[in-house]
Amino acid sequence: MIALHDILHISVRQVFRQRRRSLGVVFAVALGTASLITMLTLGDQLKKDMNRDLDLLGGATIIFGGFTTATDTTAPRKFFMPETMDAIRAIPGVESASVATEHVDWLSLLWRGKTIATPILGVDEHYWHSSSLTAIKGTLFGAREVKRGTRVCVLGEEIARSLFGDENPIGQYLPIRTEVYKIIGVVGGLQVGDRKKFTMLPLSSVVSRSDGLMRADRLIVRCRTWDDVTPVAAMIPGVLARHQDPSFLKIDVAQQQLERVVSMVWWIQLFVTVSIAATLTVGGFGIWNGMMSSVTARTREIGLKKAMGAERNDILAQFLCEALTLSLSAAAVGIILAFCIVQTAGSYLEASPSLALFALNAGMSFLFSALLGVITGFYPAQRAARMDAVAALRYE
Amino acid sequence: MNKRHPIVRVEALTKTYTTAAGSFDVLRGVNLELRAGEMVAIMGPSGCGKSSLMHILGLLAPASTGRYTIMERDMFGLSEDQQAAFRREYLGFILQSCNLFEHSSVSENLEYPLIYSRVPAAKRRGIIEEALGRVGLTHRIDYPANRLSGGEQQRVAIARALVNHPKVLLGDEPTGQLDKSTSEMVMAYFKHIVQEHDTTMLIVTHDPQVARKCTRAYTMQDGLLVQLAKES
Repeated sequence: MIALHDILHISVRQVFRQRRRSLGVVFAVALGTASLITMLTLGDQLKKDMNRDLDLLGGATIIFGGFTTATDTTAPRKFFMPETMDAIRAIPGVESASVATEHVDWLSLLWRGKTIATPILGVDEHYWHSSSLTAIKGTLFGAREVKRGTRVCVLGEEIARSLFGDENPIGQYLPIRTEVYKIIGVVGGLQVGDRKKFTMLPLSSVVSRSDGLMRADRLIVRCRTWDDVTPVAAMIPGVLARHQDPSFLKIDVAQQQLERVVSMVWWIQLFVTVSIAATLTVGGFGIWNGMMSSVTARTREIGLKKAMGAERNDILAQFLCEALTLSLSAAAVGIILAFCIVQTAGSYLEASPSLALFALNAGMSFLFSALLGVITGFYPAQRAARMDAVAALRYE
Repeated sequence: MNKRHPIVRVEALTKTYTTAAGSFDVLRGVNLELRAGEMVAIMGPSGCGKSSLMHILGLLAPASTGRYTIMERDMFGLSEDQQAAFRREYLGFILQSCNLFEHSSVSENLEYPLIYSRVPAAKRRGIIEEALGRVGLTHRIDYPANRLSGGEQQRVAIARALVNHPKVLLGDEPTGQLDKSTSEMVMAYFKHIVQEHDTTMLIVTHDPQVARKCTRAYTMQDGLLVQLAKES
């Protein structure tokens, strides 16, 4: 067979000369390739993002746990121990795990001549992330405040408005029972729900000042994706049992919401996958059709080449290489397009997609395109190679 | 090889085509010997079998029976790939017009036989220039083939057939689409090449003027070659 660099040179030149005819095919395959790479590279990020958004509608990825003794005054009082929490956080698929007080202590605050009722909730530093809460003013307390039992508090936006109106509450002091707490932040936004009426204190502050009434007996586990919810929920009792007595433990999963979300996403994924497959199939068919037309249009050329001494394999290699040139140039365009999409979408999603993952997906797409070129180009190439030289030379 | 010794020897060559309407014999036992430096014409009406003979001699189609040797080598004993290898090393084809790759340049047209003969890329340009020099078209080396005149196109086709220095040149109506003056010019080239390089040339033609310029001329009658008397 002729030298590889000659085959490549002839094929690339031929495809370039017929570029107008091939534009549609290249565009279709490039679009399919770009979609495939984008889906594979950003799929995980999109899923996480979708999970975060879906949390606002009911927390399909959040697992709640507690001890049934919390409502039974005759049962032993139980709470989640720090080493149990560390072990739960180490479960694969757990994004964040926090503890809070199950019991909510309602307080009446007398403030500037007004009496306002607010539930008091003790939470740890992980609570904000587990519950998708962010500060709309000031800041949220962290590990240091929780560890030291510092007298700081975070208000829900409604209680903050009731107490301070348009005045900035940050830095103000709030008398709670016999102590004074500094307001350091306000939580709000779509995800805050009924906690807009809450006053949140460091867990240790609440526990140490409640005479044993309030404990870290409410577990909130946020999973990375909905796929992690069921396995994580199944693992929690076993993990807990290694560190403390698991009796009276109760784990709640929003099963119905979860099933609905998984089903919805399955259909979306199916639709996207079918669309990409259809685009690639159309592109592949385009390559096949273009190559078949090319073989017919170049019948005399094939005859002449055979007369010059070209072997069957020379002709086969040339046409196959032309199909590969088409599919691989489409893949190259698709990879560039995918890179632009991934970068733009990544900045929109506030994510930094992994370059290594992109490179891996781009490499796989390149191989897939090569396979597409071989599959779609083989039959036309074989037809050209098997063409009778005399019939080809007589072809008008 | 002795100049008197035949380069091409054809003995009792037959070709039978089988169609739905039945089988018919196109060649019924052709005998032919071609020597180095000879230019031989085969004439005859359309469908008489002269192109079939040309294709068999060019190893593009099989014969039904007979014996065919080039430089005493049995051509029918070669495999398909061996025949292709023999074609690119020893045979050159010149067909009627429209036999250039029209979207390629002149040099690209001449490069194909060199590519198939595995000539290294670095050596090709010089060989192409030399071949074009023989037909006086060196200045057209990078010119698009489809912008050449009919005569120039045929000269490029001749240069392409000569680029591998073939021992045997086969011309199927090589002047069929050319006007009289261009045809005469092309024939003069053939004569020059055959004499200068001791090449053997077989031309299939309708044109008695072309046949007259050849060393010998035959006509195909009932599937057999009949030698025509040389006009004085």
